[in-house]
This record gives sequence, structure tokens and C-alpha cells, in this order.
Amino acid sequence: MRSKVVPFLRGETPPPELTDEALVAACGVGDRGALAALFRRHHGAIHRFCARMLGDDPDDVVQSTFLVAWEDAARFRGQSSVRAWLLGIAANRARRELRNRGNERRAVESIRARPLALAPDPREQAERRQLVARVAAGIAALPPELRETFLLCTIEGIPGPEAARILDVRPGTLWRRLHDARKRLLPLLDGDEP
Amino acid sequence: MKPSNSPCPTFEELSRSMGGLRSRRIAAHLARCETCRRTCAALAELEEVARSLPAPTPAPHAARRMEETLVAIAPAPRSARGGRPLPRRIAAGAAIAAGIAAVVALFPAEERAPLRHLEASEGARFERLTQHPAGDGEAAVELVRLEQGTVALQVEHLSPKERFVVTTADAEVEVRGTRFEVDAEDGLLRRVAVSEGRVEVRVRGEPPVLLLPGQRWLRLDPPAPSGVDQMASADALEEPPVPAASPAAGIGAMAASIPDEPRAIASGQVRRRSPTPPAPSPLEPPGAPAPSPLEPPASDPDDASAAPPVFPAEEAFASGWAALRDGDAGEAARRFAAAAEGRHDALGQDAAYWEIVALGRSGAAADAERRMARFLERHRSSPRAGEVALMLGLRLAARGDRAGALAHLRAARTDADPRVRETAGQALDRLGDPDPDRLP
Repeated sequence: MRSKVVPFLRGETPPPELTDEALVAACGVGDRGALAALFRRHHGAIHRFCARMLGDDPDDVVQSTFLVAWEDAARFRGQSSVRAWLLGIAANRARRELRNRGNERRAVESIRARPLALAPDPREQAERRQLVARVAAGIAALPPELRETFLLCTIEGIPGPEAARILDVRPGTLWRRLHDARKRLLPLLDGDEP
Repeated sequence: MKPSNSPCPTFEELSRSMGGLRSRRIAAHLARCETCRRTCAALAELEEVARSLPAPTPAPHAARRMEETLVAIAPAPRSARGGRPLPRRIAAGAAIAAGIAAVVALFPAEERAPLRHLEASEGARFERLTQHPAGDGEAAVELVRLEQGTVALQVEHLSPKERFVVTTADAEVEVRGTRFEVDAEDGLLRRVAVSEGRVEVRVRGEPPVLLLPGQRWLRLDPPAPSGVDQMASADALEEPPVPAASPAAGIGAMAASIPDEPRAIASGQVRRRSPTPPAPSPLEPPGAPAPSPLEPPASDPDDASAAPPVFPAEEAFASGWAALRDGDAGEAARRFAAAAEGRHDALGQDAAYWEIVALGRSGAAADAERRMARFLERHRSSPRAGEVALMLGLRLAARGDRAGALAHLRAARTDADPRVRETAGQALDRLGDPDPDRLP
């Protein structure tokens, strides 16, 4: 016999002093208010990461990331930051999603089509636009394992050892992937097309 | 020191030196090697450009919708599903069995066949559950547990081994292939309207009512706060009001959830009456069927003779509840404090308890914590002492006061309420209680 009565979310935010770790602990004992609070704090970063990994609507992966986090909350031991832990889950879910899709053309096209950040001077603006477009396309064209490593370490700023842990790879493997990604992207700065 | 003609570091070494501590050897080499400096500059530029990529952000309404969905569909966490000591499992099972009396599990909506369509009003709070048959002769039950708002449902014709039930804290609405709407407020059934098929409405303490197409059931007189008798009954466990930091609410929700109704107040029940009939549902179609003869007659709000006498503390208690319902938690806390002032009876205990809840909800967590400690000093034998100990234990755990948390959680683990015991046990497990059998 397996049963569970669960409370309903009331919509208010828990006290601001609660740390991420406290929220995860509360999730571990079935507190859905804490899950909502955790979602509000981190869904932006998770959405950003998933959108860059997948290239288009990442909602399903974002949602499943938090569901996995909810289910695994009791096993969270604080070996990484909560944000890094969530990003690691998101990376796993995104990888699985990419495998299911079988091709990544949509990701490339979608990232290419996104609006670009602009520099102040019109001429610089144009150059900057082209540079950013090339780098965005280059990132989207990376193999998934290089892309997730580059996104986590470079854009999300997750330290290498932590990223290796959450991606479940050896540190040496992570560094090799990061170097490979950088090696492939560097020529884009000189005007090469991805 | 390496000689000046030492070979350049590899690309991997330069790449790894980005954004971290750079070895003395590489730093020294960079000082004299223009090529390697250019490589490092390019790596830095790449990083800068990558970080400046436009960040895809979710639309706020989409995020809000996802958050609500997430909370509704999140299954019981793994820690709550296994590995607990047997007595806690039995206690947890008994508590739930009192409510729904069978196995309940959460599944994604698409896996359920009988419910063909469900439409919820804005802000509706509900969840779906599947109650699997415990034996061959029993039916599988699809449950929609509605707490707030309106849900419109269309249910396929059910086989004899299937049941579909909408539950609120005080009622069940059972169907056998139909189209209907159910409306609830604060967990209590407010309205049922049937478009097709037949629906049986079973409200606690009232005889069942069978609704045919075009008929509606309406509650015109909201129920009063439940009394001691109800608290003592097994039914009181069926859909329990979830206290702010009750077992289920946990650390994070001290300010995020409040109980639906006081479970008991002292002498002199404060009965509220609805001055107007319930507002029409947002999902109610134009030309909705007229009220059926089955609808109960409206009560007369001016009929003061039926109301029991109201004393100042009770009035303060009732006004505290009104403020809490209006969303003014700070004012509610002040009124509950006034009601609790100088009283050690059941009303004083309840008022003190609700003051804690209101403070938590208003975000005054530190004040709430102080009131919890005071509550436990003054009302050690209160039926609410276990819940308050649990709240305080969870709060202290969140603040990192492990020793204090253990003491209060151990006390909560001996509470009469199995849900309090269960969550206290889970929290103690999470804290790694070195002596789980130790009594407080």
C-alpha cells in the first residue's frame, strides 16, 4: 500500500532567509511550497541553459528537471551548489531530449534566429552582431557533450570540478571537452563561419 | 625558473589557465611570448562574447503556469516512499487510510483514461490521484481533489471496475460518465452543476443527493469552524487542514501555507453566515440551468437569533480569521494575539497557534519563532503542541540549529497526529539523528 496526502501550494514565497539548501531539504520531506520557491529562484537559469542546449522551446525539459530535483532532493548532499546541481540535472535531461530528437538542426537554426545583443557604435554594432551570431551558431553546432560543458563552465560559471561532478565525468574528461569546445569556437573570432 | 627558450605551453594548458589560478611558469611565459598572450586574449574574448549572448527567458505567465503544474503533479519524494522504519510507515498508512482508505499514487494526466476533459478556472487548486484497487473485487478510483476554484470535467462512461470521484475537505462528488462542474472554496464544496449524466453529492453529515442533468447543488451557508467533536472523529483526518508547518508543509512553507480552518475553538462556536449566495463560477456558461428544487434554501443573514453569543476573545479570534482570509496576515496576527492574551484555555491555545501561523504567513519568521517557543512553554499539554514543536524544529533546522531542531523534532515525533509524527521522523532522518529512539 502506497499513499500520500499532499498539501496544496498557497502561492506565497517562503521567508527570504531560507537558503537554497534549506529549500532542497524541505523538498526532501515533501514540501511543495519549497519546490515552488526553488523553481522561482532557479527556473530562469535552467530555462536559459536548456534553451541553449536544445535551441527551441525547452519547457518540458525545464519542468522535468525540477521534477527530478524534487524526487532526488532527499539525496542531495551539498557537494555542489544547488544551482550547479539543478544545472547538472538539466544537462542530463537535455542530453536525453537530444537523443530522442535525433537531430539538432532545429537547435542551430533557432539559436541563429535569436535577436542579438548590440554594441553602442553603429559600425561596432554590425561587427558585434556578426561576431555574436557566429559564436551563437558555433555553440549550437557543437556536439552536445562539448556544448553542455562549454555552457556550464563558460556561460553559467560553474567551476570545473563541480561541473565534472554534476555531469558525472572525470575532471580530465571535462577539461578535454572544454578545450575542444574552445578550440572549435576560437576561429569564429577571426571571421570563420561555423 | 625555466630557461627563457622554454617551449610554449600547450593550448590545453593555456585554456585551463583561463579564469583560474595561473601557474607561475605560464605567467612567466606569457610575459615574454606574444603568441601565447594572443591566444589567451582570444580565449578571454570568446568567453566574453559567449556570456553576452542573448539569454532566452521564459514568459512570466508561462513560468507561473509551469510552477503551478509542477507543484500539482510532483509525486511523493523518494525519501517519503521507502526506507522508513516500519512503525512510521504504518502510522502514515493509517492516516491516509482514514481519508481515502486505499492505495493512492500520482500519475501523469495522460495515463488516465476515464477523464476525457478537465478545465480549471484561473487560480484553481486541485490535484489528481489514482487510487488502485486493493483487491480483485474493488474498483480503481480516479480522484480529483479540489481545494479552491472551479473545475469542469467530462468523464467517459466508466466500467464497473472504475470510479471517478471529486473530493473536497467536506464532500465527495461521484459520477458515472458525465459532464459537470465542481466549485470549492477554502477546500470546501460550494457548488456542483451537472450538464449530462448523473452525479451523487455526499456532504459530510448530510444525506447523499443525486443530481440529474440541469440540476445544481449549492452551498449558501459556509460551514462554521469545525468543533471539538469533529476534530475527534476519524473523518477529521480525511482531508486535514494543513497547518503552516505541519508535516506536509515543512521548512519552506511556514509562511507559504495556512490551515484551511481552525480545527477547534473553545466554547461558543463562532458561526459565520454568508450574506450573499456564492458568486457564479467563471466557467458557468450563459443560460446555465436554473437552481433545482434540490438546492437548499438560502439562510437569512439577518437572523441573529440563531447565532450563539459572542465574547470579546471569540470576537477577536473571529476577526483574526477574517483578516487572515482577507490576506492581511499582519493584522490577523495582532487580532489573534489579542484573543490569546491572558488565556490558557482552548481558545487561548488556538489563538496563540493561529497567531504563529499568521506571523509566519506575514513573513515575520523571527517573531513566529519566538511565539512558537512561548507557545511550548505555556501550552505544553495543548493538542497543538506537537505541531508547534514540529514547526519550531523545522525552523531551527533551516537556521542551522541542529541541536535545537533535534530536541523539538523528537518531541513532535511523539505527537498524537500520525502526520506530525511522520514528518518529524522524516526530518530527523534528514538531520541524521544520532539517537532515533531517544525520547525528548
